[in-house]
Amino acid sequence: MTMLKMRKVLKLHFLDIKIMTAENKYILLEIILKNGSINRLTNNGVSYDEISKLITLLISENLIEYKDEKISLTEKGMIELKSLEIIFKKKKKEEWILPDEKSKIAKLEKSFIFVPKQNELTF
Amino acid sequence: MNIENFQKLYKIFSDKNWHSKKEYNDIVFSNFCKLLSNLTENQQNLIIELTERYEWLSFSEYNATLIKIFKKIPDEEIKPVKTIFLFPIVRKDEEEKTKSGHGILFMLRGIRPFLENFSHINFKEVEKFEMFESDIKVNENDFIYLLDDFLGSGSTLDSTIEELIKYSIPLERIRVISIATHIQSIEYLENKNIKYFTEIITKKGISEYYVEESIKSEKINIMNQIEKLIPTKKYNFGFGKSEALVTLYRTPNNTFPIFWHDHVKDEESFKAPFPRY
Repeated sequence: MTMLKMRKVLKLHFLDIKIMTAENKYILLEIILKNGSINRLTNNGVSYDEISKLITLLISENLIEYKDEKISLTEKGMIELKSLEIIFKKKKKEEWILPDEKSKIAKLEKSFIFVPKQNELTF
Repeated sequence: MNIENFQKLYKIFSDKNWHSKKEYNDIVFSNFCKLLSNLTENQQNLIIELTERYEWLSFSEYNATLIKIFKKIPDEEIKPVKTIFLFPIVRKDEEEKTKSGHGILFMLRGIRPFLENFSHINFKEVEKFEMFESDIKVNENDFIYLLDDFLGSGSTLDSTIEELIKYSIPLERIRVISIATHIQSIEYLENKNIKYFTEIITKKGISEYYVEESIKSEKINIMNQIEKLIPTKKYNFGFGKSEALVTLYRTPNNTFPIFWHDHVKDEESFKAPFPRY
């Protein structure tokens, strides 16, 4: 099957929900795997409300699960992600290297002097 | 915002039935997401924690809530009453303006006929303080019901009651009816020994919630950082430092301003989850 055909098949499969394109599905699965930022989807034109619908749909398809306030990929979801990766994996490093949101800190004032705690020093 | 925090927020909306029962829920949810996207991980976690304890009562719920509140008034208190004077909680210098208390006064017109325990009572709406001087006579079994949807720091309530005292209205003939009441107003009413009937009691969201001092001061620091995104310092921690976590028909300014005041990030202005303007 050509890549174009494959895209079409996947798109038809999710025709009932306009935003559930194979690409959005791929992005969402990847975001969940890496606990990445949902901005990747909003930048792709998906609204916050639509993201929640996508999540609900992926849960109903048993691709992801929400347990103890953690959202993660199921085994089926991992397989799905691998197959979608073939089509959508970005080649440019700016597109696949994502900022580490967890390590982001509030902007510090220019006059702020950072003094690390003694027990946090590595030397 | 990472996907986990997005899902936590979504779950809060679902658990609280905000998705299904509240007007404008899609706008509020979207504004919440934009706000979280402009915050650091620590700041997001605090907003999510506070949202878990947030009360949101929409306008469509006012009628049922008012009926519930009136049902709390004991029968033995109602039976001997002939007249109840209804008066909005308002400062004297603002009595010409339409305030939220007037809204409750108006809503009660529709509810009163269905309050069976009150069917023998003559309700009279009072429009101005000066009517207490000559037109109104509060007899031994009569009451004045002071009305509002939210009582915050207690300053407007105090101003209203002090004004009534000038007209020699005894405090024991006053009842305060409000949909939601903040702890500062509860303390005021209890100190004055004035009876009140309310449905929601709100407390200070950080300083009265966290017991351990180190956690409390950490959360206060985080909120101070968050509030740096708001262009004005006027409502720091909410009017009167109330730290409220409540939205009614309109969000009271006693609520932490990040929930209702626009914030600015990288020179771009963003609407608050529950915008007042």
